[in-house]
Amino acid sequence: MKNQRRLITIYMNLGLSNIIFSVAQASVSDSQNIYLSLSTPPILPEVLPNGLPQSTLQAVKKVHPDIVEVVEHPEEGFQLTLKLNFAKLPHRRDCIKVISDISSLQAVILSSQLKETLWSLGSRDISHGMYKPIKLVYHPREPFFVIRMPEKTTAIFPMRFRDDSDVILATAFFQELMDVGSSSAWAKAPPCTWSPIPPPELRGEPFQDLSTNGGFVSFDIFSRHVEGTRLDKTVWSLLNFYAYVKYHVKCTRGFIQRRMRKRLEILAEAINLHYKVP
Amino acid sequence: MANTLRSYLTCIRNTLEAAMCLQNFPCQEVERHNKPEVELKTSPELLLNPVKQADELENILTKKFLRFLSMRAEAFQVLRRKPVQGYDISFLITNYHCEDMQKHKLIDFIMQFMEDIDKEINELKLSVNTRGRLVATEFLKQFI
Repeated sequence: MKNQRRLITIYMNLGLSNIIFSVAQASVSDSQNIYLSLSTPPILPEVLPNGLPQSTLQAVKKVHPDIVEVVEHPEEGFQLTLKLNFAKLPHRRDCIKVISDISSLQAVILSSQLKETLWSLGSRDISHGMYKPIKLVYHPREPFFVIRMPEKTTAIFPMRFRDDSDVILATAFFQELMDVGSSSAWAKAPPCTWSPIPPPELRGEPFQDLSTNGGFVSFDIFSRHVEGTRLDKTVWSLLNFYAYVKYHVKCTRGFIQRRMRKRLEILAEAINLHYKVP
Repeated sequence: MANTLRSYLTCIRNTLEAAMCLQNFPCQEVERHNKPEVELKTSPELLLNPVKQADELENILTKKFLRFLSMRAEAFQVLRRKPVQGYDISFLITNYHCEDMQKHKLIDFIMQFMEDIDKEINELKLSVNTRGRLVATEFLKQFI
C-alpha cells in the first residue's frame, strides 16, 4: 500500500497526473497489483488503426518485465493496460528508480512511435497520411509537429517563452543554428530553418498551436539521419529539442548574471580605490 | 577604440567639466535642510545620453546590465538608483561628492564607466553568440 501511494506520488511529482499525451487510469485490484491503462493518440493511425505498433509494445515490455506486465486485452477505451506487481518492487533507492522508469513509459511509447514514423522514410509502401501534420506532445503544453513527405520528414517546433529576454536569447541561438547548419562542414546535418510566422505546412492547424512568441524551428530529416544507430539519436534529439533550448537559455542567463556581477565588482573597486581623495 | 565612441566621450567629458560646479547651499524653504537642487529641478541635472543600441540582443543586454548596476547604485555612490525617465542610466553628483572626490578624477571615473559599459556589452554580445554557436554545433553533431 505504501508503495502504491508512493507510485501515485511520483506520478504527481512528475506532472503525470494531468497526463500530457493521454488518458491514464489506475485501478487497484488487490493489495499487490495496480492496473494502469494508457491511451495515447497513435502517430500513424492510417497504418495502424488498431493500436500501438509491435515495436512499441516490445519496447514497453523491456521496462522491468518482472514488475510490469502488458495485459493482452487493454481496458475498453485504452490502447495499453499494464499490470504492476508491487510485491516485486525492490526496497529503498532501487524502488525510486523503478518507479521513475515506469513513469517514463510515455517517453518510451512516444519515442517508439516517432521511430516508426522516421523508419518509414523513403518507403514507397506508406503513402497514407502524407503531408498532414501529426501533433506530438512530449513535454507538457509544448506540442510539436511531424510532417511526412516522400523523401523527408519535417519536424516543426512552435517555440514559446515566458520572458521577452528569453525570446531574444533563444532567437539568437536559432540564428546560430541556421548559420552552422547551412555551412558546408555541416552539410550532413538536417537542414534547419527558423521563421517568426507559421510555416505553410502548418496551415489549418488550431490557432492555439500556432500562436507563439519565439517563432517556429523546422528540421528536415532525411533517410541518412535514421540509418542504423542514428535513428535512436535522431529521435532523442527531436523529442528533447525543447528541453535543450530551454536549458541553453537558462545557462546563458546565468552566464550573463555572473559577467555583470564581475564587472560591477571591478567598477566599484575602481571608484573606491582610484577616485577618492586620500 | 572606435573613433565615433572617442568623439562622443570627448564631448561628454567637456560637458562634465563645464557642468560640475557644485557647492553647498542651504534650502531656502525649510530651515536647516539641505536638499539636492538637481533632484528638485531648480538647477540643471547631470544626465547621461542613452547608450547606443544596435539590435535586440544589444538592447536587452544593455537594459539588463544598466538595471543591474542601478539596483546596486550604493556601490558607486554617484549613480542614481532609478534613471531619469527616457534614459538608461543617470548619475547624481552632489557637492559632497565633489568634496569627497577630486573633480577631475570623478569625471575620469564617469568616462571610464561609460567606456567599460560599452566594452562589457560588446563582449557580452559576442560571448552570447559564441556560446549559441557552440551549443548549436553540439546539437547538430548528434545527427551525424
